[in-house]
Amino acid sequence: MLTIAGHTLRSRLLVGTGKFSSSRVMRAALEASGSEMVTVALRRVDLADPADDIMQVLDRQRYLFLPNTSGARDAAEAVRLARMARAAGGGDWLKLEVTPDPRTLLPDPVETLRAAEILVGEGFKVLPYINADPILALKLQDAGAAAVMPLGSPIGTNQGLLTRFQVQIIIEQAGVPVIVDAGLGLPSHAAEAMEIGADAVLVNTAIAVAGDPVRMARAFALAVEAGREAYESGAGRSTERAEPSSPETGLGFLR
Amino acid sequence: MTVREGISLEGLILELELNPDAVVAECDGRIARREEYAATSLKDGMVVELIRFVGGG
Amino acid sequence: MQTSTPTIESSRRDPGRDEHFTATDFAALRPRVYDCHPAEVAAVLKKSHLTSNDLAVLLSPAADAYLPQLAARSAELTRRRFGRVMQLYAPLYLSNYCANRCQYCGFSSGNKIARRVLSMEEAEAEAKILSDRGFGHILLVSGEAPARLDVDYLVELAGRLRHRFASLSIEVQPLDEEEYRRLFHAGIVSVAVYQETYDAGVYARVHKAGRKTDMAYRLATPARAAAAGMREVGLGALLGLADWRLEGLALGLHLDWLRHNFWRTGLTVSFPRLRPAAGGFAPLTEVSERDLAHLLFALRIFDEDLGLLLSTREESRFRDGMVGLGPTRYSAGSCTAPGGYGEPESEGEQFAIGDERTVAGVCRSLREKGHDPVLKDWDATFQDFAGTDRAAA
Repeated sequence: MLTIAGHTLRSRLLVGTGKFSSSRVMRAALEASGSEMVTVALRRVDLADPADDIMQVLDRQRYLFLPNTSGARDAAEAVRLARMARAAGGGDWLKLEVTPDPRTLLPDPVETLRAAEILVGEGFKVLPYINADPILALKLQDAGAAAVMPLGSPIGTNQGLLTRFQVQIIIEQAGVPVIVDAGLGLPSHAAEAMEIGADAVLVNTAIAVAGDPVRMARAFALAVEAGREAYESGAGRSTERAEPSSPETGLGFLR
Repeated sequence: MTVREGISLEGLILELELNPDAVVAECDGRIARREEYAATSLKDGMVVELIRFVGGG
Repeated sequence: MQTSTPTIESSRRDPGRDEHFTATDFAALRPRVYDCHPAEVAAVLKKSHLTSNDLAVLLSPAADAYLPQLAARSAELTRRRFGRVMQLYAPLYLSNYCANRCQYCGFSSGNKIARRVLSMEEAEAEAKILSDRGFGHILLVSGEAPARLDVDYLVELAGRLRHRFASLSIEVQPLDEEEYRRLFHAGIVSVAVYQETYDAGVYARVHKAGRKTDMAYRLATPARAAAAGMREVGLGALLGLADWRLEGLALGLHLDWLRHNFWRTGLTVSFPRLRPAAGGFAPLTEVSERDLAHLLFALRIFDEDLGLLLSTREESRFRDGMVGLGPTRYSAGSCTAPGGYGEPESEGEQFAIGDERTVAGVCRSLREKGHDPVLKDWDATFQDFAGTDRAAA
């Protein structure tokens, strides 16, 4: 069971709600995923389509909403979005996402840390989305973040766990849950993240744009479970290096 | 956008066929509290932002 | 087939949940180390991220037969992380006055030895000898007697010495966090404080009087030094008191806790070993060179970033043999009596020297083994000292 900021979740698969072809498909995919925590974004109301309201589609009793600050390009914008999310009934949960470069959507470490410090001070449960930077993860933890969310590869690239090595360092050093987010394109990527000890993963694009999002959601759910089982069973970890040769000096000097 | 004189924030939201409970309103950069919607009158030149949750990753 | 107790272990280290590192119960540590199977040793040697359970496996009797493999793995990790380099330092004994009564130590308050505390000028003269020898790093050592040598003394001495050395470390009585902060601003960058033993029962047995009898205070000292901003903290257990395998595991747990709670602080481990001496304190347990090497290799494999120190307590043959296998810092040409560099006949040593070579001799041996002796690593210019012209630069 995963506990974040005092809240316990049975599923270690968090799902994003963007990019789905329709609300109906989104709802079915979420159900198939078994997820209990989903991300939502904040946008200006589309006055031409007032009825498009995600709140009507998702059962808030079933899914814990994790509003994100996507679109924020600096700390000030992120803080503003966070306060709006709270005002919109999003609770204190927040996925902090500060992405000034719209091409890569990579997170700004400086603005993220700044925003996190402010928002933790305002009582938010901050889950910051970051590059897989172990020092940044430690600083965010020191600042009071409820978890850290290092990317596997940039949003939407589906390249998998390119940051594996650094993510391992983060996992080793973290005192808060580590949720690998972004870039997980295949269930095997999610399984890999779980095998190396991630506490959870967040998947959006890979499910939403799959040919059959419902089946893909289920595949991810199974992969996350498999990865976690493997991790908890203490699989011997293989290393890339070859077996060490005998030492250059023998131990004959020992008395 | 032109609205009738004296309309409240809540009135505006309803006129736009939106659910006041599902919408966040910012008036001139200040987030309005839900309980204030009915009491907040809109003035000429006021900048109102209406925001709500949408799908996102 | 023997099976070990299954544990759900995370690759994550045991997180520090306690406000202080609490002493580990040796009775609880014992099965973790002694119930290990040889097959587990082979498995751990293949891992990259070790847990404390893995350390226990490496320390177990089952691992004794794997000493060459432990040495090889330790050598590989050390070479990758530190290169073929050995940092050299020298201890500078300021005082052998001590208010504690520790059964194993030459400075014990009950021992009738010539006691001396160096004046500022005498300490500076000793330090000059060391800097003339080329040392960039010295360790200021004293017995634990605040009435004779206190924080004010150290602050003043640091002020006088810091321009001469790349870094100053201390090994003195445990101090409060505020005192460590004062010392840090005065120019001390690292603190060594050895727990002596993590076994509460043995600790009480060998520490008979003085402030040192407070085990909890001593145990929390590395954390206070780290909290005060010290760049490095040095741990150690005195080998020969309690079971060295369990001391090793306790050390690992302490290191883990410190890494988690003070991630900015560098950590080192020393390996002082009691040698049987005629008329002196007989070690409570026997720790051979092989055991010492085993412990050192295990800790290196457990934590790649640890500085590992071997002092001149050990013999030159042993220290030469260990070059490249794990240690990263050696003292050289040491004298453990206050004033002993200027007056080699000085009495009142803390321990007998095993490696009597000069600095030049140690350097020569290191080079012969393909290692670069480093007398200066790091420069004090980067350190922000309070009230110094450097800060203004």
